[in-house]
Amino acid sequence: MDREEAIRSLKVLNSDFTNFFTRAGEMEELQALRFLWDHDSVPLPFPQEKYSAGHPWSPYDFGASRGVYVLDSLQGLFLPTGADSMVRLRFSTADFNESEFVLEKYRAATLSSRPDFPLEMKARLHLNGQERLVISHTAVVEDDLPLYILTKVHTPESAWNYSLHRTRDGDNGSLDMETSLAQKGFTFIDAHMNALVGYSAMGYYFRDISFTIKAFDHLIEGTIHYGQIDPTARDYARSFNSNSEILIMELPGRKVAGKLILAPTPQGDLLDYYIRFADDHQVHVSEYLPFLNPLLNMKL
Amino acid sequence: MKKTIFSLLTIFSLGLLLSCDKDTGLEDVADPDATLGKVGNYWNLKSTGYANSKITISSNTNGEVVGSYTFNGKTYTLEGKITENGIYDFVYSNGDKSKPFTLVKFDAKVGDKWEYKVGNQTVVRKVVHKSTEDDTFYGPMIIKTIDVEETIPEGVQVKGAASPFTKILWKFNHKFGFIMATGTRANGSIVNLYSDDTNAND
Repeated sequence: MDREEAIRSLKVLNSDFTNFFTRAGEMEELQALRFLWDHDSVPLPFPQEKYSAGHPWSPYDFGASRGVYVLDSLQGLFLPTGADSMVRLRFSTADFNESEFVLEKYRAATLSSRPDFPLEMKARLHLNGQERLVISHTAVVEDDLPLYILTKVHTPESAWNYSLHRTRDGDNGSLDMETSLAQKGFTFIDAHMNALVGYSAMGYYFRDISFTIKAFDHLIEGTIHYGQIDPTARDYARSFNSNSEILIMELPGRKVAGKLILAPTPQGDLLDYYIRFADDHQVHVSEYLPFLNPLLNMKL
Repeated sequence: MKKTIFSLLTIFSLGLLLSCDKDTGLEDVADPDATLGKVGNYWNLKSTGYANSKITISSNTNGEVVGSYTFNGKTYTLEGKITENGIYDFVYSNGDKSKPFTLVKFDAKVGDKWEYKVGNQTVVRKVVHKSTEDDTFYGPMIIKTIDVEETIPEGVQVKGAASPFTKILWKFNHKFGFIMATGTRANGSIVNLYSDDTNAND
């Protein structure tokens, strides 16, 4: 498509994601989880990992954490009030009455990079007396690395699923990941990644990556020959771009709106992601797809 | 704190060497025993507040070395490459040996730098000091060092987790190899890891 049409298409995609993030932020279930997350006193595994760069990690002891805890709103702390076979956090706020988060099961393993990698977790959230969220997670570890991961987070109206499967044959292997988001039975984000990986004493590294992300009415399709990219090349952007193809397309019809590339910033001493249109004009990715920046800044 | 000292040990990918020349870390090493990566070479490691450790070269294939050390009761391995000219590691490539990253070259000059791109960010290692006279204590001796400052952008991954350090100052000596590393965390606190003994020069 021409540049004008492509810009319109990218604006639609950005609008879809912006609306999605806005609606997600308004979900009471997520607001309640965020409320718990912000309380360092909750006896849950995750607050201990919130500041991984500046604080020591320590394993979460589910057995020792079991019990009933009630929010003392004056102190802003969850205080233990009784014994239980699970971790029960009871709280009432201006937004939620008679609410409870229950961690029913939790089991973790030590991996090379994480002292507390969850192997099994089951949790439920009740708001205003009704079950509103169920989290289930299972994982298998082999060779000090995740082998399988299956995570499901369901609310009465929406569902998020994530799965990972890793294989190994000597120093070669593969990594398959899938994730999807659905609401009222309609899947609006569906992403798949397949990668060939190599193994080392440090874990695994990527050789070839292919992925598809179907989001609303767009499809992002990419192949990255990661093993061929030279991270020490004088012209790294050229090495990256010649070994990768990431296309943003509009559905139906797979009409290409733009290609994602790496290019020098106007200052020239830094690199960043740009969208190149059919006429070779390129714009910084944040100009039309600001939601994409955090994803692109994730390191492989 | 255990995590950060472990990370420094992980990022610290080995030992030492002898002379100089241009290389990228991909060259074969004709005589591994003539380098600091000779099998059996070890470095005692110390860090204030932690049990002493020792890293020992357990294998060397064409310069690709494996070092083993024990920390907190568990044995870990590190991989790197030691040539006649320099030391390279595979920390940022997560062990991909086709992507060595120069840690030090012993003929480098102050201002020389090496870069490793991770997405749109760049890890930079820059030579910030090269002794012209003996100026650094090493056990009972005073020796020359070549100092490399590593700058790590926030969020860059090491072994699947964000690097706890924003800067690492490395000190090397051409005969004794690794001398010291000072890791600076985002909050400004520092962790020192140093060696006070090695058999690399025997």
